[in-house]
Parts: sequence; C-alpha cells; structure tokens
Amino acid sequence: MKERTDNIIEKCIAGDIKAQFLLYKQYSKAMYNIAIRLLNNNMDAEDILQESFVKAFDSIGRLKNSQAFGSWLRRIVINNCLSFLRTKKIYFEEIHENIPAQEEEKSALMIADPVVVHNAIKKLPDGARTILVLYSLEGYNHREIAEMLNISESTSRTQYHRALGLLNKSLKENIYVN
Amino acid sequence: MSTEIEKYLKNNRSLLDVESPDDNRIWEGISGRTGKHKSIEKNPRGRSLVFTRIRNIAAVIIMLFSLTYITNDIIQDKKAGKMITLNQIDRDLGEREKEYRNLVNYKEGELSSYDVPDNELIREIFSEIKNQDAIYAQALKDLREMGNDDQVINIIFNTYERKIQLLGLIIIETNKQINYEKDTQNSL
Repeated sequence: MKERTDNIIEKCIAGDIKAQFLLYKQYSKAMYNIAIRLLNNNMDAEDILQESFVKAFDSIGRLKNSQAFGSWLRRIVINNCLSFLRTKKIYFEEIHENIPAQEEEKSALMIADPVVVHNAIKKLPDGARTILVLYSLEGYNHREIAEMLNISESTSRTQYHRALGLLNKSLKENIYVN
Repeated sequence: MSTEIEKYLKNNRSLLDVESPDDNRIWEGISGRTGKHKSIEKNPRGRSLVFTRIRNIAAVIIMLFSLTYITNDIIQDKKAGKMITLNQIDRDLGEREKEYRNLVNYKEGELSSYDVPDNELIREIFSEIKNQDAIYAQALKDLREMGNDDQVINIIFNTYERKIQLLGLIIIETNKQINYEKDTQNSL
C-alpha cells in the first residue's frame, strides 16, 4: 500500500490525470467530512474540497514526503475552511454560561449512532463547532487553535467545553425523541 | 480527564465520516483546473462549483438555442433557395461591399484614436449612425427573404455610404474642436 501511494503521487507529480483521480477517490470522503463538519453546508464543503484538491495537485511537486500527503491535504482543507469561516466573521467570544452537566453522557453515547453524532456536531453553533472539530477530531491543541483562529487559549477552551455540553444535550434529546 | 464524549469522538473518529461528496461534479471541476495554474487566489471562492454549474447550464441553453436557430435558418434558406450575402448573389457586389466595409473599418479605427467631444451635434451624428445600422440589419434580413432584389441591395450600399459620410463628419468636427482648443491656448 505504501509503495502504491508513493507510485500514485509520483504519477500525480508528472501530471497523470488518472493517478490524480485515484488519489482524489482515496481521500475525498474523509476530506469532505472534515469540511462539512467545519462548515455545516454541503455546497460550501464541496467548493472547499474542489479548491483544496486543485491546490494540492498544483503544488504536489513540493511535497517532500509522499507518506505525509494525507495530513498535508487535511491541513489544506482545514486552512481553506478556516479562511472561508473568517469571511463569515464568526466570533469566538469568551462565554460565561452554565455548561450542561455531563453525568448523563454515557447513557447518551452508549446508543449513539455515528450518523447521529455527526449530525449533532454539524448543528452546533459555528464557533463552538469549529473548536470542537479542531480539538477532538483533528487533534489540534488549544494553543494551536488559538493561533489558527486568532483567539485566546482561554476562549478556545471555554468554547470547547460549551461545544461538549451542547453536543451532549443534543444527543440526549435525540435519544428521547427516538 | 477525558469525558465520555471526548472518548467517543477519539475512538470513533473514522466512523464519523458518514457523508459522501458528489464525486463526479467535484472531479469535473478539479480536472478542468489542475495543471492550468489556476490558483485559488485567482479564482475567488464561491465562483467555483456554483459558477461552473450555472455556466454549464447556460452553455447548454445557448448551444440548444443556437443550434435550433441555425438549423431553422439553414432549412428556411434551402427551402426558399435564397442567397444570404451579396457575394453569393454576385462576386462584383461582394467586392464592392468589401471595399465599403474596409472603408468603414478604417474610419472607425481613425475615430478611435481621437478624443471625441461630447456635444449635441456629435450625439446626433452617432444617433444617425445607429439608425443606419438598424436599416442595414433590416436590409440584410430582407435580402435573405427576398433574394436578389435591386432595391434592397441599393439600401445596403446606401447605408454604407451614409455611415462613411457620418464617420467622416465626426472626424471633421473633432478636428475642429482640437484646433479651436489649440488656438485658444495659444492666444492666452
């Protein structure tokens, strides 16, 4: 698999359109889901996906380690999403509200379908959702998130906890509804 | 300390990729742009897929419309056995039209090098040129419908002659204005 990916990337560098398509198919779903969780809009996510692959294929020759393609592409997708969110002027203000208690999380999650969780994440407010996705799913720490979003670490943390609380609440409601 | 939700998200990260993009449409956009050095910065977001979709629909409509129009035109012309251009009627007429057209192009080219004044006379002349263009367009249409008709052919050549005269008139008026401004400056 390692050699195959290397081989595909080499062909992509040479401008082989079939290899580009293979690479696209390999990563499109994962990248699309990152984009849609950050943007909560199918059309915007598709736009970002297209832009990100175009940018990746145009500059793939500069990629030093072909094994890092996935994380490199993921970074491009996230950066494009964040640039787009900046144009929407999302505010990541410090919040001082009561975060819902989390003792019932376990019961909510025991029967949580990934589709339900995915949709619940998408329904979170823009600021909280962005931070939750970056922290919990994309592995950035609060310092990195603070730098990326030009906010304080404290804001990142409070928004993150708010997101967890809202997500928990949403999942519980979903269970009761169903 | 991680909460249950955090643990869930961490352990089920890959399961959360539940949605699928419209690969055909996205790939169409990507393959049309890669290798052509069309960067994101040069192609503002929001114009990409939406723009492509609108453009494709518009292109199909225009193509269908043009195809219908051209096909209909050809069928009508063939049915009537009628000619379309002066050159098809008679080569000499075609040559004469070509000379007129060259002259019009020359005058228009000359005019474009001037800073034409905006006054009532010039506006009237431009308006008259517009009228002549409309008469010319109608005459061409008549030519298609009526074929070799002397009156229509005369109208076509008259519109050329009139247009050349009018363009010449604008050039003269513009020169007058330029000279007047020069004289005024010299006298100051």
